[in-house]
Amino acid sequence: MIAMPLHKSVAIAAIAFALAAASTLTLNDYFVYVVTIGAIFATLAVAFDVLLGFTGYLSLAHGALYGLGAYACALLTSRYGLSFWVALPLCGALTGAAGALIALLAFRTRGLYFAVLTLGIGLIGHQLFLVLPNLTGGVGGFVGIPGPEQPGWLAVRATTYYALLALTLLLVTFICALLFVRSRLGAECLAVREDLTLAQALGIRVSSARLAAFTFSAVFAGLAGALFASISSFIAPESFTVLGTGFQLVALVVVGGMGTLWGPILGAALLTALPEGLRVAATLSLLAYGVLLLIFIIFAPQGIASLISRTARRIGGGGREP
Amino acid sequence: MSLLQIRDIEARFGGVVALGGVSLDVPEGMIFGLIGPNGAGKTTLINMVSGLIAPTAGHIVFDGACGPWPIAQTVRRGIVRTFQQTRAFLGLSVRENLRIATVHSPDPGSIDELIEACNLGDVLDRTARDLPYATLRHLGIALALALKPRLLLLDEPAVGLTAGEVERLGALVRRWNAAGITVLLVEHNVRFLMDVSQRVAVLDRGRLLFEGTPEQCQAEQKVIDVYLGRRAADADD
Amino acid sequence: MLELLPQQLVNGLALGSTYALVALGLTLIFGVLLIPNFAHGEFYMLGAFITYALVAAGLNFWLAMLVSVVCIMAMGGLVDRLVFRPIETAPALSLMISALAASIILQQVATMIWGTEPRTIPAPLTGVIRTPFFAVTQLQLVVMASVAAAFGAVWLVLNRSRLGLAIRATAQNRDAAMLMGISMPQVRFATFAMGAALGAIAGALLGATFPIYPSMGVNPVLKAFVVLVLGGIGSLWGAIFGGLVLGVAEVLVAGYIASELQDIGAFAILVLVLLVRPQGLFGRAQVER
Repeated sequence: MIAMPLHKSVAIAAIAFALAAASTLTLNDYFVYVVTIGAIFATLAVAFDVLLGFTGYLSLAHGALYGLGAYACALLTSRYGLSFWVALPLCGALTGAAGALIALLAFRTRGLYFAVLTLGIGLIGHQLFLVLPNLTGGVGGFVGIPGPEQPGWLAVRATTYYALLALTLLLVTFICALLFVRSRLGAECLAVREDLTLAQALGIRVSSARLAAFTFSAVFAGLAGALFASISSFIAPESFTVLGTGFQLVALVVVGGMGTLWGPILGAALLTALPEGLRVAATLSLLAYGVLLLIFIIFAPQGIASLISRTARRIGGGGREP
Repeated sequence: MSLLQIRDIEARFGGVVALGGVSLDVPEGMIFGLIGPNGAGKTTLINMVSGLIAPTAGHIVFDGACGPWPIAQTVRRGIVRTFQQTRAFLGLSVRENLRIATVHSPDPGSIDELIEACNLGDVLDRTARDLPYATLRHLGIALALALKPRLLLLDEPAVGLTAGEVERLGALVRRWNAAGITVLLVEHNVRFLMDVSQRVAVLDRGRLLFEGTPEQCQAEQKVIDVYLGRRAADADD
Repeated sequence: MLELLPQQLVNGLALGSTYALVALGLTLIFGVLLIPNFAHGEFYMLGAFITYALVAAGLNFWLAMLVSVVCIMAMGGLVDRLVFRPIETAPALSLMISALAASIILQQVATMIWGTEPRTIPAPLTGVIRTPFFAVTQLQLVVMASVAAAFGAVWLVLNRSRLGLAIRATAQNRDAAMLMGISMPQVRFATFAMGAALGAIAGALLGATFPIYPSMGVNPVLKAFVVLVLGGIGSLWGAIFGGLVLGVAEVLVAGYIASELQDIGAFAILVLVLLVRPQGLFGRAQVER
């Protein structure tokens, strides 16, 4: 794996962002919505990959963390009358804190137990959304969440504005994730993923590295949830289930390419936006997720990203691989 | 004064006594060899000195400070180990491996020295998993050296290497030692160990059987009986 | 409130028996092959649905259950062949992910065939036995009896047959077992078939009491993981014990605290147990690859 220089990665991301943003000016409302949802899931996937792909831990609690961000935003903006822009960082901080707490608990265990423990936490979270109707609206959902305030100088449709927000959040998440994985902590996370014992023997601060990775992914999952709540105006527990959202995240990241940052974006674009755009029935798209996930984990565990970069290298004459 | 003093170290796993009160002194600047038949407790000793397992009794004095310490602290104090089944970050390139090991290194230029010291220059962008056995071994040791240890614990570094590779490894170990690193070497390959070490200790069934120079060791009848003799018998099987 | 306690305990034991039955299959597969088979809940679900379909076609319930169990045993072997065998040597993370995928696929296939509308299998036994302290349905008794029977059968296979010896050897040390000439495909098939059969029995019996639907396996399999954590992964006794404890605990939480907290209670137990004993209550040393 040869890493691209940082400024080059950021430049490519910015160009992709500009193209996607420009497209939302011309597409019809429905497709703009598809782009918005795709961008939110891509944000989730990138954040999730920092934990799954770069640190090697499968968490099934992230559906609930995403939901926590969404409900926190709903409460703060509609019940306490806060502006979306004030609520957003608060939601990130809240899910970050929750994530850190979960991590402190969950990293006491390893391997299968870690997955099972986070699964349990994800289920408790989902159940809490159901059984606390005073806070969450219960099974009926939370209605009437105010949308993010649109500044007067930005004369675009509301749907386009939302899409731009979602794309911006994705860009910010991508850049932050890029900085994270290239930092010292990122290198330590890789060490944890590859060989925990060796990492310890080399004096790497294993617990702080993986705590940072979990907290990082929780913060951005919360931000994505908050934005989702605000632009949807209605949220219900069914959007935050373990086997819905939690599983979907795993599929996006694995199919896109664990351990790369653009892979998950690709995965989200293909797996979220495409079925939505083609208006495939929910059952069929979940089935497709399952089948694709299985095919990739067996035959191409490094995902589409590695297929593409391998092909590119071959076309490019294979000059970079010694 | 000795850099490392092991004092009455004892290790019990359930009812099994792996080490029954072993004391050893490793003087600064020396290559110190440790041999013994299978089950003698060599790896257990390395695990304890490196902080991977806590001893059930006894202590370790390093550079005047009294341990044992948990592994992270042990590394910070300058005791670093390698593993018997060479461990490197197999899914990553050699360059990434070295970057991880030098993450806390105060001196960023040291990677180049390491590459040079361990002959890794030609394989920097190869994935560790694809490296030849001997090169992987060098990488494993490079990871340890990256931490600038004062005491390097080598756990059977010559296993599975060809005669030529063993010779090259011996030259490298001497070079690192000349650069100021004290080495505690655990090895099955007696010829390699006797060749490289300046002082040798023999463990048998969790006890110290002998300590002295390689020449004394090879002349000592009880060592020959217990260790060299048994190996000869093994070879006959 | 307290006069209801005997009844609550009976209900708890009945519920716990079904958890034990599901957990028994899960723990067998994990204990022997180190596969965290999230799709076990779908063995359970399909066991119920196949029974349902056969009963609807006019077959006697017990016969339908038997046929269903045989079908699911074959499917267990197939799932192993397609989902887990190809990545035998991959890290545990990949096994977990492919198990998740298998679980979703089977659920969605069932949804396409039967829809999400809950259905019921006509109960084969409707009698209730009343005592001064509590009442118990005949079906509940059958469930409890089948746990005992299933445990006995698995124990006999493992401890009194050549195949069982091979399976136990594999559980101890797979590489050594292979070196001794034990046929891994055979052990894998047998383990999966047995585990799947246990799941299918649980599904068919529960389907006669509760509504069945394609995602019905999710909760029981998660509960079964709780049971595994309680009872120790790979331990048959632990699965029975953990299942019963969990069932009773849930019923007591629902009865004396609040019924909507029943599930949260179960998962809270999971979290608590793992925090106190990261390797499970009676866990042997951590199995990791």
